[in-house]
Amino acid sequence: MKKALAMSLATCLLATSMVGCGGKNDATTQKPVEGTTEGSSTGDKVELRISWWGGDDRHTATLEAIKKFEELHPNITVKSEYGGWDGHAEKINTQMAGGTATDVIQINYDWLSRLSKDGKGFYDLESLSDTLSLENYGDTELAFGRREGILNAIPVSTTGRSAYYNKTTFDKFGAEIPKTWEDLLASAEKFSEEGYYPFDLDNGSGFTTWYLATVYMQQKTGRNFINEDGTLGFTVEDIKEGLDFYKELENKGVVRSVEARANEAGNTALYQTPSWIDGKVAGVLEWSSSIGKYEAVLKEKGQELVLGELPMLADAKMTGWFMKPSLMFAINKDTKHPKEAAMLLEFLLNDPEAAVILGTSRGIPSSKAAKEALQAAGQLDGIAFEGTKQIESSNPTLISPFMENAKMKEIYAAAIEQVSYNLGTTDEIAAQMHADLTKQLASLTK
Amino acid sequence: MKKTRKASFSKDRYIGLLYIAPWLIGFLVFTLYPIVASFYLSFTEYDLLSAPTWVGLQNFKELFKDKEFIKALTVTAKYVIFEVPLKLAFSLFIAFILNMNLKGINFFRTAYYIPSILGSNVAIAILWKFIFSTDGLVNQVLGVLHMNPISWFGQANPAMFTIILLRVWEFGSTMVIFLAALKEVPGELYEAAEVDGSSKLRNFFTITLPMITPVLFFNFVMQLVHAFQEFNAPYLVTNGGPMKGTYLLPMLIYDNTFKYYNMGYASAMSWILFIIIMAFTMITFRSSKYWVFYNDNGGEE
Repeated sequence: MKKALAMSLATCLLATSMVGCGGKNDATTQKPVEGTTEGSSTGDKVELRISWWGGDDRHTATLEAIKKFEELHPNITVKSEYGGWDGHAEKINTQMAGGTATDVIQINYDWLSRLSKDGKGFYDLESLSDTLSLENYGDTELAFGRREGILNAIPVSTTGRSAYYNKTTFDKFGAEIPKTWEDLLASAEKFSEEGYYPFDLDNGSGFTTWYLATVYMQQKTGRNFINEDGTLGFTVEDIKEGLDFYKELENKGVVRSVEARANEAGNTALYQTPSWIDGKVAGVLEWSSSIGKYEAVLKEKGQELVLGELPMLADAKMTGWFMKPSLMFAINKDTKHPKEAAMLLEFLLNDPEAAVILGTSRGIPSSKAAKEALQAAGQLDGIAFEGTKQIESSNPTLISPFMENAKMKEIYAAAIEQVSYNLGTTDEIAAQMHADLTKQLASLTK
Repeated sequence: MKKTRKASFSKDRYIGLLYIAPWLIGFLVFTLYPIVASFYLSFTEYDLLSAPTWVGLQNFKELFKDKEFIKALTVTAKYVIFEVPLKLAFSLFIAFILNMNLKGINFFRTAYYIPSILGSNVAIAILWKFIFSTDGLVNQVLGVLHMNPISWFGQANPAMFTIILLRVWEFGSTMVIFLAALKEVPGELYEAAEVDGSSKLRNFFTITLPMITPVLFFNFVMQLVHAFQEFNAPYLVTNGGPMKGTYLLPMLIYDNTFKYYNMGYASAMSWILFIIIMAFTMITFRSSKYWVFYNDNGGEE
C-alpha cells in the first residue's frame, strides 16, 4: 500500500513539475537561485537564452554579435530563438504564461502594457545599472520602457513609417518619386504596363493602410486618432474621409485591391512576394527599423530603394506622422542569471564593436555609445538612417500604445477589406468602425 | 489464501502500471489536465498572465451573440460538409485503383502515400500559394485553355476550395485503410457475381461498398473529427481570409487565446466545438446500425 502511495505521489510530483505553472513557487525558490548566480559570474558555465523577431538581415547580424559575445565570455553560452514577425507575439505570450520565456526578450511597445500591468512583469533594469549603462539613453527614451515608474524595457531605437520607393521601377516609367499627397494620388498615371503599381499598403492586414489614412486625416483635422487618455479622437466623418482616401488610392491604381493583393500570394509578407522582388510593386510604407529586409531583396536583383518625402497637406493642422520605440529589450523577471543577461544586453546595446556588427538591423540605435560607434565606422547612412532621421525631425506624434493592439488591427483590417470589396458605402463602414473602435478602446483602458 | 492472492494481484497491477507509466503520464499531463483545465477556464475570464476570475456562464452567453463566432461556425460547417465526403470518395477511388493487380503496384502504393507525409507543413503551404497565385500554375493552365484566371485567394469560395483540396490531397492514410478493407472482401463473391453476369459497376455498389462499410464508418468518424479541428491549412495558406471566408473555428479559438488574450472565452468556444463534434460522432454511431454491415453481425446473433 505504501508503495502504491509513494508511486502515485511520485507520478503527481513529476506531473506538476512538467506542467511548470511555477508562478507561485518562484518566490520561494528564487533566493537560493540568486545565491548561485554570484558564483556563476566567476567562471561557472552559464547558459542564456535570447529571443527576437525580424528579417534575415537582423538574424545574421544578431547571431554574429552573439558569437562575438561568447568569444569574449567563454563561460557563457547563448541560445538564440528567432523568427519572423508572424506568430511571434503569440509565441512570447505562451512562453510568458508558461514560465518558459527566454532570459533576454525582444518586445514590442504595445506588449508592455499587457505583459507588465503593474510594472513587475519584467526584471527591474535599474537594479542592474552596475552592468547596464543606462546613461546612454535620454529620459524620454527610457520613459517608453517604464511601467508604474519601473524600468521594464530599453527601447533599442525609435522609428516611424515612411514612404520608400523602388527607384529602378520609377525610372523605368520615367515617373517622379511622389512628394505630396497629390503626387501620390497621381503616381500611377505613368505606370502604363499592366501589373505595375507605384505603392503598396499591405492592405491584406489592414494596419498599414489605416496608418496612412490616419496620418492624412490627422493633418487635415488636427485631431489625434487616439487621444492620450485612450479615447477615440476621430469622428465618424473623419473615419469616412480616411476610408474614402484609401478607396481613391485604390481606384487610381496607386495600390492593388485587397483581392489582387491576397491573390498574389495568400498571406505572404510583401518583401517575400515576386511582385516586390521583381519591382512590379514599387513603393512601401514601412518602419525605418524594418526597411532593411525590403532593401536587401531588391539589392540582390540590382534595384535601388530610396526614401521618399513625407507627404504634407499645404494647410496641415499637425504633422500627423507617427513615432514609436521600434522595439525594446527586456529581461525575464524569473531569469536565473540576471547579471549575465544584463551583460549580454549591455553588449548588444552599448558595445562599440557590437554596434558595428549589428549596424542598423534594428533601426538607428538610441544608445549614444552605439550611435557614436556607427558614426565612426561610417555606417550612419543608408535609408534606414535617413528614414529614422526624417521621422524624428518631422515633429512627429507619439503613437498610442493602443493603436497596435491586435484587436484594433483586426478592426482596421475588417473595414479596409469591406471598402476594398465594395461591401457597403464608406458611411456605413465608417459608422461600424467607429462603434467597434470605441468599444475596444473602452475595454483596453478600463 | 485470500490474502496472498490479493497481494500478488496488486503486485502484478503495479508492474502493469509501471509498463504503461510513460503513456499514463503523457495522458495525464498532456490530455487530461488540459481538458479539465479548459473546462474550468471556460467559466472564467483569464488573460494568461493574471489569475483567472470566475464569471459563471457569461462566456457561453456572450458566444451566442458573437457575430464572429457564428460566422466561424458557419464557415467550419461549410468546410466539413465538403471536405469529408470529398476526401472519403477520393481515397476510396485511389484505393480501388491501387487494389488492381498491375505491374509495379507497390511502387504506386508508396508514391501515392507521399502527400500524407508531407502533409501540413509550411513548405506545402508555400507550394500551395505558388500553385494558386495570380500567375500560378493553375491560372497559367487556364490561360492556355483560353479561360479567365480565377481569383483563388481573393474570393471566399475559391479560397475555401484551395484549403479543401490541400486536405483531400493528403488522402494517404484513409486510402491505406480502405485498401486493406478492399483486400478483405472475399474474392468468391465477385466470382459468383461474374457467373450471374453482374457488371463491374454493380459489383462495386452491391458487393464492395456494403462489405467495406465498417471501414467506411471508421474513416468517416475519424475524418469528421479531424475536419472540425482543421487549423494548419487556413492558418498557413490564407490566414482566414478573404473576408473571414476561411476563418475556421479553431483559428478563432487560437486568435482569442494568443492574440486577444481571452483564454476563458476561447476555452468556452473549444467546449462548444467539442460538444458539436461529440454530437455528430454520436449521431454517426447511432445511425451505423442502419448502414454498417458486419460480416459477423457485429458480434450479435
